Amino acid sequence: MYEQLIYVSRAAAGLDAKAAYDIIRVAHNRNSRDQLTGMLVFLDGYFLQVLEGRPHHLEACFERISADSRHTAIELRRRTPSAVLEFAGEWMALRHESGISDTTKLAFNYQAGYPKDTFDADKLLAFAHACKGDLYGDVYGDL
Amino acid sequence: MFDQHDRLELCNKLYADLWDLPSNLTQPGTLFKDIMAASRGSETPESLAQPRPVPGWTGTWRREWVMEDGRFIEVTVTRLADSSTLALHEDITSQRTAQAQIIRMASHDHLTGLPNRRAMVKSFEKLLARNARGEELAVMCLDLDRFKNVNDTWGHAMGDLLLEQVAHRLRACVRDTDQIIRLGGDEFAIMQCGAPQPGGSTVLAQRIITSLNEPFDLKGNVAQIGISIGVAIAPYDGQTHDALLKSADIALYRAKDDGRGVLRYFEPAMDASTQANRGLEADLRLALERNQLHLVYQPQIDIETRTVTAVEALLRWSHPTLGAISPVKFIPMAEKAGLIEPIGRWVLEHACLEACHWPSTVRIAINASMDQFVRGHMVQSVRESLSKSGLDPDRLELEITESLLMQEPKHTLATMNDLRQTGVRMALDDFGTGYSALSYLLKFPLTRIKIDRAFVQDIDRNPRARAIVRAIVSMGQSLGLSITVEGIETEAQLQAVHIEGCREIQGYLFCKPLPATELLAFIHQLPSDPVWDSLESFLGAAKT
Repeated sequence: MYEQLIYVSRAAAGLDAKAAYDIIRVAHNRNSRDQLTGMLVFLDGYFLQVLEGRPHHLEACFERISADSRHTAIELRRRTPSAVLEFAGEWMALRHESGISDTTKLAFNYQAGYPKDTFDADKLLAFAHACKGDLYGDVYGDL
Repeated sequence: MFDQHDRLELCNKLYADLWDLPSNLTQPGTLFKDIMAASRGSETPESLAQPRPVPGWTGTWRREWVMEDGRFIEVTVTRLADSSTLALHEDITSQRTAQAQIIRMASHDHLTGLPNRRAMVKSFEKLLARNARGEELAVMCLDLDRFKNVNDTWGHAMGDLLLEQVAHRLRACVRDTDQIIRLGGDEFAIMQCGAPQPGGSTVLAQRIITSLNEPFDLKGNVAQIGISIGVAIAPYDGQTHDALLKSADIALYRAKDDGRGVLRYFEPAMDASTQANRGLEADLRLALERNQLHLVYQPQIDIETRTVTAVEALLRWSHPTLGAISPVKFIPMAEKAGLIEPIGRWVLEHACLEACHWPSTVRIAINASMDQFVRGHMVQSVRESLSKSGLDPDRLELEITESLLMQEPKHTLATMNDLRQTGVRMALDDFGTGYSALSYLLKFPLTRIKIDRAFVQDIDRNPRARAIVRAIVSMGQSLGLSITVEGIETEAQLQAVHIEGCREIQGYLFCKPLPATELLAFIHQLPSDPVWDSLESFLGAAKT
């Protein structure tokens, strides 16, 4: 049995590309070891992350995320058990500004910070999937 | 020969053939520029780029033409003091081809046709210059998993064939802008530019890992390998190609450490620990031949008869400068470095020889590793050690872990059955720490369970730990398996496990691991050791 959680947060002021890379590489190495998968979107100074895996690994990971001073205003938007992994066989995928097309943003009526009233959990999940598709299309064609 | 106005004075037949000239152009008086205009070729850009000689010069000037049929012709013009010229025209095609070949050979790997490390340095400089303009550049180090097995099993020709196929698959994974390099052996590097990082390298690495996990067909032999990948990203992890490659290589080492077939990004914290480990691994390779490994022996005791029933051989490493290195550290290292097989064989031989000095009622217990079982020739090693030492097979007990049963059940079962046939006993070590599936106990030909120390630590205070020990003991008894409890350090623990029905124990309460020289004395004096006096209150008198 797995769990999936979706949260959004605001990046700490002055978080540059190097700092974002630092977050992601450490997270990749650890998540890969703990077999956590999902999707991280870094856009307009906000993080959107879908995280999935075994409950105890997910729990420990979210504890670390919650304690990380490189972001604030962490909002857990949904946490549900799930029988399957939506991003199975994938490591944590990452998309940021240059990897996300305007078409995707328009299609979702994207607003910075994913306000709760217009971005419910289902829409966040769909947006994460769409962002993931963007980079595959741009850089490596269909897998 | 041309006169001072560059008109032809004299030429030979070869000259006409070389330039493929009609006979009217080889007549004396023909202008040099008319001859060249009629030839089917053009002066090479490099030749044209040379500074032109100033009027009135004397000396030698080399010019070069490339012909439509691909030939190269060199013209060496020497202007003499009287302003006439002597021109030597020479077909240099074969020299040129050889030169190009040499340049290609020097910069490309012969087997796979991929650029080599030397070529990499050049492209790196170009890419890093672009990188300075704000583009990110990922440097990936890749190393095949289990490549050595292919070489060992089917020979180097198959290994080479595999490398060619790997290069082919790598080419299919990358884009035109990515560069693949063969660093040597089964190591490759890829430079990826123009993709957002680290997302781009994650996608590419995943694609490569998936592709190389597919089996390879080597002339009818099916090879299953895999690949581990380490990534460093410029400018964050280094500014020069040396620094970036080193960072990527350190990340690769971590990928291998974390179980292979994965991608690891370089983290600055990896640097120090990796450096230290690599040095230690090199030392471990020498440890065997330099006699730095030795065995110590921990007795297993029957508390009812007050005698030693078995002795577990434990491997120790005395490093010449660092002192004693913990087996927790060097055993996994030996496994990764492919050293566990020779080390395992050494342990078997030495321990069996040593056991021949003990009373015939005392067994020798030896830990067997995954690599010995799966890749090694365990059955053969055991038979050799037994015949060399003359030890009764019934006195040899091999301890295996649950992970071995889980990860390679088929292979392990076959090996265990063969070993049981030779008369050797099989114990399941660290029972209770892994999955402890009861089906193992039925499926595998085990003779003993060793209950892990984790259940013993607070057994005198923790009723749950006690209940588990009770359950294991009763299950073992009904399956006809012997039970040993490890890690007994206090009288309270001993009393608790005694109540739960255990009689064979191992632990510091009686004895820490001993050098071979002290073991025999311990075996002989144990029955009359004063320790029994204080235990008599709950153990009662010795039974024989």
